[in-house]
Amino acid sequence: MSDETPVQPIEVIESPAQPLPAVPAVPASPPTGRLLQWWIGLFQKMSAAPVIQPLTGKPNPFAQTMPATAKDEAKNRLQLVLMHDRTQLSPTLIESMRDELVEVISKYVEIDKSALDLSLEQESNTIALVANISVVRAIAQKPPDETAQAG
Amino acid sequence: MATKTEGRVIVVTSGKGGVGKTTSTANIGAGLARLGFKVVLIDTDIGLRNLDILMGLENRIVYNIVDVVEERCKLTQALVKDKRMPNLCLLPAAQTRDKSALTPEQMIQVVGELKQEHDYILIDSPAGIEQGFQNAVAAASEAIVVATPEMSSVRDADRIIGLLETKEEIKHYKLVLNRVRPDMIKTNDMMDVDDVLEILSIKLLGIIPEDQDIIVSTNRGEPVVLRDGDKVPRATLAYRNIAARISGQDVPFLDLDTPVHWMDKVKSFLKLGGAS
Repeated sequence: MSDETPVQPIEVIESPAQPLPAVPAVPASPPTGRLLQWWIGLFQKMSAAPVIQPLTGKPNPFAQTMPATAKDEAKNRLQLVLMHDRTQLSPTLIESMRDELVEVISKYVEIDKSALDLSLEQESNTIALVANISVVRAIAQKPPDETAQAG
Repeated sequence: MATKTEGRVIVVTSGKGGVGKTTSTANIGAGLARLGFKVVLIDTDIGLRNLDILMGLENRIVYNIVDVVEERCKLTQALVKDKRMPNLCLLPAAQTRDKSALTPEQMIQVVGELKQEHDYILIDSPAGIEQGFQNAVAAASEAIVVATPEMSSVRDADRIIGLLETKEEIKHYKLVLNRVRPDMIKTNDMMDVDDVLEILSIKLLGIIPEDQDIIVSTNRGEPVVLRDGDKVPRATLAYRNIAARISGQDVPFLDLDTPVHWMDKVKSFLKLGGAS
């Protein structure tokens, strides 16, 4: 398992002038014996084990952050990809739907356009299209339908 | 033996190549023949035939399915009898033609004839979702979807299931999960059987463990399901069970967990939480 984060090529192109992150200085290793280091390592691993964590009920300060297992990663990625396959909605299509939704909703309420989150979610046997929209404030005007009826 | 009614027509398909369609067709077919049923295997992978190799019958082919539909021979002349069992035979694919040499209508006609004389007709589908797949599915009323617990295979299986659902003739389909590795499932490095079943929402027909004996069997041209003796490979048992389930027997699924040596238990405990 590799702990490198994948480099996104787009970011590199957009910000070529960005300086490389400074390499943190390697702290001088404490003069502990190898055996003692092994024991400390073992203690950390054991305290990170899922058997112990539920007993304490709170995050263990010694626990290393556990990476998602390959199995879980495969399952999550697969479920996402299948939702797009099954609905035949590509990320580009969702993007254009998002843009149109912003346009329509903006007629009625002022929304934070950058915060509109549109995604597919699996709910047991059905696939749901979930939109999370943060409303800044309502626009004080009657919807066009009602004004038409009143007039 | 089944009473003399029309045979059951089952297509073995997967979408993705290399997941074990042909191996499964050969072994399930031989497994059903082993139970005494009259079985015919049809290879529809025209241009890339391989079922003959797996059955060890590559040297006995005279005519093939394209010769039959183009009326260069009779159907019975093209059927290759198995070396080991008289109630098992193969209708080979043409090697020098392509998928367009066969149409779904022709498949329905050939299978319709074979149904009269056989209990089971197993159709080995080529990879992909194009004409070869359409040919293979055309005459079938049941389907076996073969997949491995890998992302690309499961994704393609999902696509195939979607296509099978649009076919009215396909009454039901079940999953054979191939190349399952209990050691990797135990370490959470591979999706387990339940994960795949949940994702695909499909019923399970059988689980085949990854087994070196399958390669050995292919090399010898003898389906692994036909191994005999006190200590047979687990893949042999797995395929025997699938054949029995198809024939209507209620057989529990294999427990793939092997007894673990106590030292391995200690090792895996010490590894817990470590990012390896």
